[in-house]
Amino acid sequence: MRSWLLVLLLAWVPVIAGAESTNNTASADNKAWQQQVAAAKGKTVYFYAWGGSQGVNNYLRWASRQLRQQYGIRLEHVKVDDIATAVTVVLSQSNAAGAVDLLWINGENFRTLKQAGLLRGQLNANIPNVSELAFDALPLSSDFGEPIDGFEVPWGIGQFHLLARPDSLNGDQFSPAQLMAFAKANPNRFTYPAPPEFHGTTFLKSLLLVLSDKDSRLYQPVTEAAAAHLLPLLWDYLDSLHPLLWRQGEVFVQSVSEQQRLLADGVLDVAFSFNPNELEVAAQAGRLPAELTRASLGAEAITNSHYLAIPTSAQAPEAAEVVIQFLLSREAQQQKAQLSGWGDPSVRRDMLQQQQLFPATAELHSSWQDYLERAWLERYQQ
Amino acid sequence: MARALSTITWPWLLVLVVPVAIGIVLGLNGLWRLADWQAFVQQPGLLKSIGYSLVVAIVAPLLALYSALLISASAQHTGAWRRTRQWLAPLLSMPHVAFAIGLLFLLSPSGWLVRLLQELFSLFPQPPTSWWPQEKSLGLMILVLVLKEIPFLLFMIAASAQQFPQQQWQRLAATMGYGSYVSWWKIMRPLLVRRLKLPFFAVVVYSLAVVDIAALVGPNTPAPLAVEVVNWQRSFVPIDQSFAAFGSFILLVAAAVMYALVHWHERWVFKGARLQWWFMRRPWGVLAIGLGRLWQPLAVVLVIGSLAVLISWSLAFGWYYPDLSPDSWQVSLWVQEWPFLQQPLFHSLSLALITSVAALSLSVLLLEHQRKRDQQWPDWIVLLPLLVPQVSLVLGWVSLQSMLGITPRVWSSYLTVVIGHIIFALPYSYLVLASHYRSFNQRYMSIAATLGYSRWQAWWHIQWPLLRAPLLFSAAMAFAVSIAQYVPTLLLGNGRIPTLTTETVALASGGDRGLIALYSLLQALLPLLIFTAVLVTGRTRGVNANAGN
Repeated sequence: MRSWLLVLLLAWVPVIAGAESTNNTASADNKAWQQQVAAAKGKTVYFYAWGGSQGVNNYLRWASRQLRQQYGIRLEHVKVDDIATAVTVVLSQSNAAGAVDLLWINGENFRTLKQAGLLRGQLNANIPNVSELAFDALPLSSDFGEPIDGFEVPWGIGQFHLLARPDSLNGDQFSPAQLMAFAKANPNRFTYPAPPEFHGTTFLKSLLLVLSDKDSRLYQPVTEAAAAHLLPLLWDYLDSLHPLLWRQGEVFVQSVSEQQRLLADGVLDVAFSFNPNELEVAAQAGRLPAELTRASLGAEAITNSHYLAIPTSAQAPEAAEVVIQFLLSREAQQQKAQLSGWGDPSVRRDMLQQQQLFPATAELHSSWQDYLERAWLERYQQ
Repeated sequence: MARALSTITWPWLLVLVVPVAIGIVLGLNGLWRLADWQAFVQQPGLLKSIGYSLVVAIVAPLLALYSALLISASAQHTGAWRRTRQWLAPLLSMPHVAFAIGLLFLLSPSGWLVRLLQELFSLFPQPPTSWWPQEKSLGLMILVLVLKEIPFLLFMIAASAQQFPQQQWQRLAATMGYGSYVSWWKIMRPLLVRRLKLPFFAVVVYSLAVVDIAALVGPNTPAPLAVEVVNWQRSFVPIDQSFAAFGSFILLVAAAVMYALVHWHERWVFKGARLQWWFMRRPWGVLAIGLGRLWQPLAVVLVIGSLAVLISWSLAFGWYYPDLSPDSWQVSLWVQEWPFLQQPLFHSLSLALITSVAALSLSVLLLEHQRKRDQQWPDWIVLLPLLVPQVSLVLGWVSLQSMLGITPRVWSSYLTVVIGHIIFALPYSYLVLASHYRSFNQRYMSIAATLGYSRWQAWWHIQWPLLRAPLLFSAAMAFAVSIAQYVPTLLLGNGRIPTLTTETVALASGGDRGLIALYSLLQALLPLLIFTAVLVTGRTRGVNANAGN
């Protein structure tokens, strides 16, 4: 049986609470870290993070309370509508004490800041809890093909999948052919966010992976020859799909939030999500109907991670490291995974067995991202 | 340009032009990578995107202006002016995005109206695919902008009309055999179009440059140019940064062309008032009166409807098609957010108060300065901050802050936010005030001077009471503009100064309709209080028939 349930909930007895501080760090490091924690007391850390989700915002309020009590650090969540806004700030404040102490980031935004030399390095060596992360089991050490090299630290997991009305598509994975058959039988009931929106581009990548049988060239830098050979598979599919889409593909949804809203409003039958627990989380928050089902597109879900990074211009970089240490703690990761809150899966090795994840497949080589976006725009935005 | 600038004394030049110049030089530096222009013109959908922007910037403001003129003509005719004005404050104070969300939920194919039809007649087990307005269309975008700008223009008309001896003119026209509507159209309309020229231009610029409304309800294959510029800005591929600068430049040129069009429109109306005979024919009079009568209930429905939508969503849990009401009602969201509201509320209110006082004072000083020297500066100098895309300007200032080595602290961040708000609020407060101020009859002041009053004493005792409505409205506009600022507050404030708007915009990027509704309501509350206060105080003053020119 091919079930998306990798592992079921196990009766898992947590290691005693104090286990973290007694792991195999050398005592000298330990002492330096103790000093850093002591010095962080009374500091304020300005954490720029997307502020569009009640689950995330409430989680950071909880983390802020904990940090004040446990470490005496004030964590201020600076809510932004798009983290790119924060990246532009970091880029324009390169040579002075900046506004941003901590960033929630991944993908192109990370690559930009890393290549500009604007991120604090050595995070993996400096922050003790990084050694607890599941680098061996999850695709964490490369962020859209860019090695993280200690310039950012994994925080949570994203898996691209679909949420669907139960009577529309069945099973725990939909093949592109099933999706097409559904669209033919139910015109106007499906659409996707227009690339270069992140989820929209990931939809294209997922399709391309399945349609090409995971062609190995997709994991290498894009070449014109590879593109000329592989992209027609995608265009043939989309050319037949678009007339069947919502509004005949003349407009697309702007974001996955809008797609989910239209799902709740009965206009669409399918929406996307990157949070593997979205189904439960959205139902508990009253955002989406409880009877939806979820499935990956193809047998495996494109899996990536989201990260925490500290700009070189941060005013409180050491305190920001202490904040990361806390956010990676068992306590904080467990709270983050609560289905009544954010529901973001943990990246800790000792929590992997508790969560239900789809079979994972890695991201395409990052050069395909930009190539696909431009080619899509050229073809469908005229 | 040199001639225009030479009449301005350097302190004002420093205040008005230098900040924008710095912003352009530092924020739009991609403009000079000329090699990228070739790739830019080949961008897929570029012409269509520019076309969308131009259509919206021409059609929406014109529809809004002529609707407002017809409504006010009809209100004049039927004596319903006061009732018309009562519903302006809530419509004016509702932020554009909140209004659009409310309107969507009322009218869209999955909206409340369709659900009601399903409930009553079982017409739509699924939301209809052919329906008007369709979500994400140019039509819906224009509709939202028109409905939102009509109240602004009506408010401006109300403030202007007070200064004309209308009743005398109408009596005079009646003796010549003209009905009140025709006389209004022939006499009042040209005068109003002239008075409304700058506010009308502000509406044009807003329609051209608007991002949030366009992203929410506009088309997106491609989107209007302002949205594409933001998309380019948020991609960090170097060539996209150049594209963002080029797109900004095209918007700037388009704004300049639009200014010429607005100017030409004013002259056309003024010079050709007698020639535009077709407007005076009977069908137009009927249309005007009809529109005026329709406006009344429409405004009521829009205000109550969108407020009801927002209040309902902030209390709703689980609300799916085709339900008319949610699964359950609960106050938990309000309870949860309450402790976190004080700081943003305080920041919003204090910033808006400081900004409105400063912007009004600066506008008056600017206009007095020009009067004293008998000059009239070209309006675009004051309007500059509205013409350049806001993100580019603000990022330029952020770089400057960094180059000067200013370390962001809470107090210095507050100060820079105040400055930023004043820069963006001043054009609006100036726009609202300028034509009233310039047409103020200076003989009153000469008489006051002969009676021994100093210039400022006379201003306080004579000009202030006579211009109270436009002065207060000018301050209220600055207040509302300050409340609505997102990018300057977030970036200049270094994230240290959260306001109701920074919270709301961040939330609006997600899908939690309950929270979006709750914060939008609060965001609308402060301007509502101010506009209501202005309307109430503006109304107690008797209309002085002789105050105009």
